[in-house]
Amino acid sequence: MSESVSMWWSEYLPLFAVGAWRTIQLTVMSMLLATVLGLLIAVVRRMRVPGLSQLFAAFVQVMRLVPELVLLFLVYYSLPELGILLSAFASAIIVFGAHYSAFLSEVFRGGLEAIPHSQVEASKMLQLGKGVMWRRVILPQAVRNIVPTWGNYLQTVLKATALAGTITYGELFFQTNFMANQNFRYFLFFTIAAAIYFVMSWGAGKLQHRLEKHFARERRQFA
Amino acid sequence: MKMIEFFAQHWRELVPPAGVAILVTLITIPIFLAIGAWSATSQLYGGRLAKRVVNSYLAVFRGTPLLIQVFWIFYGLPLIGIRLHPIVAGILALSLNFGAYASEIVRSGLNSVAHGQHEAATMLGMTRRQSLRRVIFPQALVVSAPALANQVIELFKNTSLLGLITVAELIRGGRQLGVVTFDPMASWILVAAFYVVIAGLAAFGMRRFERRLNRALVSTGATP
Repeated sequence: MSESVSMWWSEYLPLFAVGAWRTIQLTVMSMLLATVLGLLIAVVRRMRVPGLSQLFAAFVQVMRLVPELVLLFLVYYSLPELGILLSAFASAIIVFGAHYSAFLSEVFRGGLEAIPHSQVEASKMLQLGKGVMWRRVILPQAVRNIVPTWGNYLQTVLKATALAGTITYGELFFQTNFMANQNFRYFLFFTIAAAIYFVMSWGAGKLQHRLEKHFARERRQFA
Repeated sequence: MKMIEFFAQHWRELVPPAGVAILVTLITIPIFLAIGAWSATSQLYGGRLAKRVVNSYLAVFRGTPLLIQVFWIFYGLPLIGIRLHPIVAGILALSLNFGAYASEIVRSGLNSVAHGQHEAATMLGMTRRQSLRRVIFPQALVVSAPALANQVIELFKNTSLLGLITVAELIRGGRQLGVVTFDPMASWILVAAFYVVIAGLAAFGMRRFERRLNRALVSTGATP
């Protein structure tokens, strides 16, 4: 009994903690890349850059139809054929970043399109420069439309990162599977992992709620 | 060029795995829709106990990764005496997971049906159950149809996770093809192409169906 208790302290709990921490790291990095790429795609498609716009549209379509798991295997197990060696962490960031940039770009596009054109006209009437119009008029309103959906994707990505365990990145699913394969207590260990994921996505939900409130407050200031 | 030769030579080997993925999707669709419809209605109209049960089900299955649910059901349940065939375990996990998301979609669909419809049905002497089934639900389904169609595409994509619990679907097929041909890159690109074609066709078909559904409703004078 005492031996098993010491196992928990010396092995299991640290591995759960390491796994959870890496899940958070991967989520943050993937979400950063997805947001930047998604914004780029949305802006290019809105400005209708010839050639590039169609290319990005095709990229979005393909990304929405291919499962992340296939992309992970493609990047991690077959890019070495071309002499491109990426760590599991880098591969996972690239895959989740690219995959969710497609979804986020649609969110951003929708958020921008929801702003009535009269806002642009009003800005022109007030003789605001283009930069000022974007920073003070368009973006603050677009952000308010975007933040709730963006927060949903934060939680989606958090849960999707479990797939990175299949390409040996040592996040929470990987560590759990590793431990359960040693002691065969799958039920217990996956229940614990599920509980940790649950708490983390609850935390992400709280963060989303705070962001929404933050941007809603800004509106009252302007009004 | 080499890649095209590879595709022409090997695409047939991925047809059976693709069939498995499609079959799993087709079996799961009615189950997850039923779960979604049932939990949405009990959340809105059920008793206190039903509401509590449904709320915890939704929280658990929406708050944890699908991969964990698949492994929990396939590797975890045998330890408490429930042993399931991998396909059955996979369908169960997918149904419970997608049912939880479908529930939110159906619920917002139910909420979008105008309150007057409820009252009108009551006026016509329908019981609560009848009005729900004949008046409210059909309208809610039309509103939720686009979102549910998206769910079906996502469902098909997520059958890929069942490859990790030994179901012979496209992920397994691709891995095997990569091992046999020593060309994992071409194999994974071929797998991706299978997903794009099948999911793309499904998305196209469902969009057409939606358009027809909307047209039919407009011509009968009903508004979705």
